[in-house]
Amino acid sequence: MICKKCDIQIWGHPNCCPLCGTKLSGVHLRDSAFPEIPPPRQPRRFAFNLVVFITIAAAIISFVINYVTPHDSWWFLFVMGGLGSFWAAFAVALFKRRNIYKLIVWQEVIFILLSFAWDLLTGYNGWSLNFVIPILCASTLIALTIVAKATHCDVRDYLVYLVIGIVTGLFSLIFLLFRVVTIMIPTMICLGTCLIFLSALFVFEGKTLVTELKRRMHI
Amino acid sequence: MKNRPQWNRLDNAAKIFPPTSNATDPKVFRCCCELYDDVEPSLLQEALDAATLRMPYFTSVMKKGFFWYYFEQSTLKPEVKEDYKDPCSVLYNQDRRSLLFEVTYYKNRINLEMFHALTDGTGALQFLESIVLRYLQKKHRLDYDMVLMDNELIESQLSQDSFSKFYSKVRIRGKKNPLAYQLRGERNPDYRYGVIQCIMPAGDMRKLAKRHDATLTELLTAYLIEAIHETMSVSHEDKPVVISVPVNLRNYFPSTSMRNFFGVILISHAYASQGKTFSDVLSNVKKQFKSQLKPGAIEARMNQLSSVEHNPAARLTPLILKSPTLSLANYTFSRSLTAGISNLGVIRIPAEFEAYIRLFSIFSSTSKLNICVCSYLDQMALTFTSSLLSPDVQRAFIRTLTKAGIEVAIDTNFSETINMRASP
Repeated sequence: MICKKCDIQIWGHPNCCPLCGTKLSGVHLRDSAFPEIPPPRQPRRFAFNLVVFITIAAAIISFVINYVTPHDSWWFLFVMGGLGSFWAAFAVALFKRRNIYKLIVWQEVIFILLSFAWDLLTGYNGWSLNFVIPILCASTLIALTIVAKATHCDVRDYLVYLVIGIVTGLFSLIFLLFRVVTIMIPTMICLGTCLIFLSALFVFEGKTLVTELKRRMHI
Repeated sequence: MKNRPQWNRLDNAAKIFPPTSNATDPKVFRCCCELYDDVEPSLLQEALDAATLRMPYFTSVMKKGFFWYYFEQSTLKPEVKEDYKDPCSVLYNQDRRSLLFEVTYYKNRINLEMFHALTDGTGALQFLESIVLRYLQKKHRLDYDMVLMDNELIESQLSQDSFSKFYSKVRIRGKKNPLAYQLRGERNPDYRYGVIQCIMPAGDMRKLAKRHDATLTELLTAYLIEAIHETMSVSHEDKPVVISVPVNLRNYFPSTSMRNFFGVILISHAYASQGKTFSDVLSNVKKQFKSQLKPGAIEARMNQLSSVEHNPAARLTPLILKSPTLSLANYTFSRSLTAGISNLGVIRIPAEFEAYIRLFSIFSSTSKLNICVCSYLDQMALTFTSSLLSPDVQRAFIRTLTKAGIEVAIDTNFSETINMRASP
């Protein structure tokens, strides 16, 4: 095809000139090298928007009910906190969904922070440090191992996440030493699990661990 | 003992790409080779497997360390597919362990899409050539010793980081770049690029450049500045039009590396203060090319860029802080640019194969407007990519060429459906 206005030849089968929009004349010269690509599918946009809308609506409704009914506390703040916590966990799950090991470790960290924040804001009873955090740390390590074994993936792909999980778990030793932790059993179980995983790593994958760490930490 | 995959640090130019790759500009470019016959996918797959076996560096995946990104060679197998997505769309996703290049075909065309962190245009063209020659050899049972060609290049040389090899402390102080004129307007839907490929007789283009007593890159840069000027309002003329021009450093240093080895020079012209005629623009452009391409100047610029990564404080900053800093630096730098033009030069292949290859072309993703040029035999392929919907600059540029007596044939990924999607 030919555009007389631009004085150029055009390949493919367009109706008008891509440069100036003039109707083309002449015969088909050569096929275009570009296939027609259909527009990308919009993935579950509606479902996501619905969740956003329900959260906002729930926050507004709880405030209104709290305000108009007789009250001696602003309990709607708890509802907002709950919704916020849900979003923190949900957003991580959404953004990190492509790498399950990353997702597990991120969720662990989010839940540790959230449980500690809730404990602190509800007049610190110590349940987060005593129970929730050690149990989270130990179960993260177990979850990572189960997924790794189930998917038969290469050890190097999850090694670093296992190391992060172990290091996070070992932090509870500090709480133990400074007597922030008052109930021993969960924390001791957590520390034990971490040490068992750590020794397993060194015994079975020692060399891989060292090379992997060298790579990950190169300056 | 398990064999451990090799790993490579990112070279100096590559470091900017992973943190700044996003949907608007995924830092991906495409090299195409058009044959005379339709492509046979199974043979192409065999050729690709053979080529990656020879150059395992390209099977690298990107990994995140605590201080830097790095490449690790993988056992992932590249799969040849029929062209199925918009040109230059995202290849690197930080949560997915995947190859950083892709080979597709469409009718008689073979496309290699490459994430820029892995290599530059020269490296990618070498890789594409290696795939295509292997394919043609299989298809037409050509008697050509591929091993001989490969043995000239040793793997360690191919994956050498030439930036650190040729680094020295001679450098210039960077000066702040002024804000450049920016093209504005409605963008294509779905982060799609409008690709306009122009095919012209290479001989005529060289003659045209000679008539203006300029090199081809100088002339095209001047034409691009003029085309941008046509879309500019007078009130914007005090801002300079700035064109970034990548320079292949292999021409200045003895390197055969297949990794990134390029530097960028900036060519600017301010209409308000530096003259409005085409000869003003061209002489200004020529002067800047001459002063910036002096051997000493090239070396100093390269060292200036590399010096940042040799700075101990910068090296010890965790990646989590480095990435936003690099994105910010990239954003600031991009505000001093209007458009880009890269000339990959002449592509030469062994004479035995010339009868089977029709055309080479190359183009790149960009957040602005970009031109890539390469030529093969007597065909010059000049390809525009732009995320802007309106082809004003492209039209002005192409009409300048046709007015100068050049025969231009164009091919675009433009389609009526894109326009339907763009207009509400």
